Amino acid sequence: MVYYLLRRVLFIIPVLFGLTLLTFTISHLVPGDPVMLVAGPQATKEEIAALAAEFGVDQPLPTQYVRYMAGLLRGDLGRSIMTRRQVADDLRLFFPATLELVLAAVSIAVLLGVPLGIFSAVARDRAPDNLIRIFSLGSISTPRFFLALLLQIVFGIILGILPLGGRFPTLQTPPPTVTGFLTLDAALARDWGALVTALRHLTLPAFALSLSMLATIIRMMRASVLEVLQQDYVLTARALGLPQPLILFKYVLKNAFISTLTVIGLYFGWLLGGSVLVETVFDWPGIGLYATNSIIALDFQPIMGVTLLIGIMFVVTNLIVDLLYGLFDPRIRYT
Amino acid sequence: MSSTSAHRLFKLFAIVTLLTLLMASCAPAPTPAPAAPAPAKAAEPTKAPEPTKAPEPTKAAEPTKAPAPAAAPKVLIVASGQDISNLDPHTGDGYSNRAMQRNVYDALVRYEGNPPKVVPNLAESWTISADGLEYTFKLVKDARFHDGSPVTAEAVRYSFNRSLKLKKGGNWMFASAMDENSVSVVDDTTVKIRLTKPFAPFLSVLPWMFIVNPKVVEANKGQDEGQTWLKDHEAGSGPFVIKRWEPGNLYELERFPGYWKAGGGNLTGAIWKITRETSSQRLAVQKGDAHIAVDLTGDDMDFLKGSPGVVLIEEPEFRTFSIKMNYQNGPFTDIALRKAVSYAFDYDAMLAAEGEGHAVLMRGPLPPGILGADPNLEVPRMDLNKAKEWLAKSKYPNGGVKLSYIYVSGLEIERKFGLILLDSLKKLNLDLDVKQLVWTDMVALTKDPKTTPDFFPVYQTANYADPDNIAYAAYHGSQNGNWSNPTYNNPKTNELIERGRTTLAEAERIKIYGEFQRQVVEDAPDIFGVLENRKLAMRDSVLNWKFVPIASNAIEFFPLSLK
Repeated sequence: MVYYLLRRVLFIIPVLFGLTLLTFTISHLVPGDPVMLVAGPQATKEEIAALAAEFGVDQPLPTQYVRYMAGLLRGDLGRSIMTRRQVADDLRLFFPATLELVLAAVSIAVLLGVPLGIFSAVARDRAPDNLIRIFSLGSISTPRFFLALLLQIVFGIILGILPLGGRFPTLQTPPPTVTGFLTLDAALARDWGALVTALRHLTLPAFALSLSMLATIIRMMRASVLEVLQQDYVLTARALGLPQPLILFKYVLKNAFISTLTVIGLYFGWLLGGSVLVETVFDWPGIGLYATNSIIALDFQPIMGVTLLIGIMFVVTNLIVDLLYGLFDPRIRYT
Repeated sequence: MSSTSAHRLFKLFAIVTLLTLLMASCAPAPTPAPAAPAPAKAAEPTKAPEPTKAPEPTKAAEPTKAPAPAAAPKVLIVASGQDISNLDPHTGDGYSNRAMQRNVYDALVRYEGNPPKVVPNLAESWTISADGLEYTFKLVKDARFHDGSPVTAEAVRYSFNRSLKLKKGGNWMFASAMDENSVSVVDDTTVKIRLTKPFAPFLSVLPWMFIVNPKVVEANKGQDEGQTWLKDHEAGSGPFVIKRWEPGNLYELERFPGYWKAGGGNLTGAIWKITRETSSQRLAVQKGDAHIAVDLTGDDMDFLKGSPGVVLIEEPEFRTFSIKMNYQNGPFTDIALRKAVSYAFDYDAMLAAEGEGHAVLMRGPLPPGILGADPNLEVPRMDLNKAKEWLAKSKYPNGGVKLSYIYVSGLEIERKFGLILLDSLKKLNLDLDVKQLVWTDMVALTKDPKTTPDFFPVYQTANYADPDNIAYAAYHGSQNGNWSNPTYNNPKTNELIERGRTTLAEAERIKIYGEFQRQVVEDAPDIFGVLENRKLAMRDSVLNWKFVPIASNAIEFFPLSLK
């Protein structure tokens, strides 16, 4: 187990190195000139050259890459041409917001998706199953930004029970930053009012973000449970007269959950990088929007920083998922 | 971990999260909106200002009275999609940065009215030498920076020289007529600026030249003239100071109690709230979560019509839109083809795409209302007979050419214009390839006429209220290779623009710009498009707001009040 873990951690290094090389090459092969854009239309050639020299983008590409990697080894992620801020500072600022949102979305998807999937399988081809299937099909097909706008209008404007956007009310001061997770920071500060406020702000964007994952989990769980329910050991358990909840939650769920676990791992990484639309609609100051703005401006240091961070999160999440397989299926051994 | 403990852990996790969600949905109603909805007022057009008199000395400045302590805070919330990336007044550009700068800093003069006039601010009066080269400004005696030190002539000299040295931000507006010896201190409250050559719009660029506190900048100079520090700190004398700075989320200012200027509204603070989607801005104003939304589209305005408590403002601003043709490479080097396309284009369809009442058609290169803009200029309008006549004179009498139109990715209105163009060109048997690119890539294409597309749609916002701004940026040959004017270059036009900026007499300038407009229309480098209205929505609780057609979305908070 330890050897397996060590080997997997060591594998992260070449993966991240490949990631930096790939991202660097792509962001420099795309035509476009961030320096010229930042310098503005009336900038003279001298001004453009001064700005390029300041950010080192006047150097040949291999030199730029070596410099970047040398900085990375020292923990320096570079500076954004657009905002002139340190990328590490920006990531510290924006990443916790996205992580909090994604964790909330994943929690909603798992906590609703798994029971609904099981229920759908148990009630196969009956009215509740059909309703759940229609819901999950609709959820997968609905564009996320459209759903986000719909939620805003219904819950924010018509019913007026949830905030339209943002992480905290504009006129209120949020709890002191410790982790960057507003909910956790509020709890740490024992400010329960702030915790409720932060959760209220989190509800709509997290739900909007979770929906396609929720639908996938429902469908995956339904299919897996249906498959497991056909197994001989389930028939035996039924023949022995074991109660249905015991059969479902003790014997079926564990075996059916493996494939859902894979989906959760994949979705987690995907949501980290793909939360931009929901962040935009709900003005969630997260990393998705930061990454998009950087990509549009070809501001390569933030692009590299975000890619690396999401890459690390992706690899680590998948490692955790791989380890969890063993928890749910003791036949899996790590060597 | 055994399977039983895993099961328990799973159950515990489920219970905790469900409880959390339950708490969230059962929580009390949101914080009350800052503005209570009230019956809607019809949007009132901005009154035309009275003719500006010669600048009169400002009355002796008295510190603004701080709002009564018992009064509820009056915090204005502005919803904007654009982040504040750089507060440094000498390097930060763009309307959102300008909005913050103009509220924490002061300039010698400021804009007021419609049409905009330059009025005194830190400078209570000024004189201009007969040759237009020497400007002497008398400063307000009681003006103070936020640390209590006086705003002196030396601070003015320091600020100009810092800008000239850094060569960034708004420096381009005056750099061609100044050098590091241009500004001299006469005494503590008198500063003299000697231009290296006459520059008629000089006064009109000064509202964007903010004065910094040299002591504060020097104390935080670092290795880059204080650029890093001033990005999110201020060294100003303006009516507000920074309270909260949360990049990507919100920027809060609070009223500086010792502000030197008398008057102003009752605001105790203001928040620039980043609200990226225009539809979210619209909802925020509708619900009362924001007082002003600054980036609305025509659809948003239509949606908000009749909303209780919301006042809609639509005014033409000095922001032109034209479709530039590649003057130096490809089929459009042929003037007859440019003319043919100019007459084939469906201008009415363009106006309809903008939505009823949201835009007007341009008449030539200058925006209506700006000095010298000719309202009677003869410009091409859709006339297929003329278009075909010109096509017959061109190198492509039967059409059969495929042209390219590249627009900014995600800018829906430019895509619509591309489709209108495609439809118009079909009538001349010309084909069009409509493509989108991100703005950075488009900027890169314009470096060289060979990579510049045949059609290049461009919005051009005036930074100062003078025809020189649009004329120089969009039609002077020296700007070739920049997106503002990738390829158009006619020595005759260049000469007119040069004369326009160095001639001081207004009547003479009007003649020059009249000739300039006729020349540009004659050369047909652009399909002159539309002048989109500035579209703002605000709660009717906002008082004292007046429209100025220069950067009206970079809101000045000082005069405003909240009910």
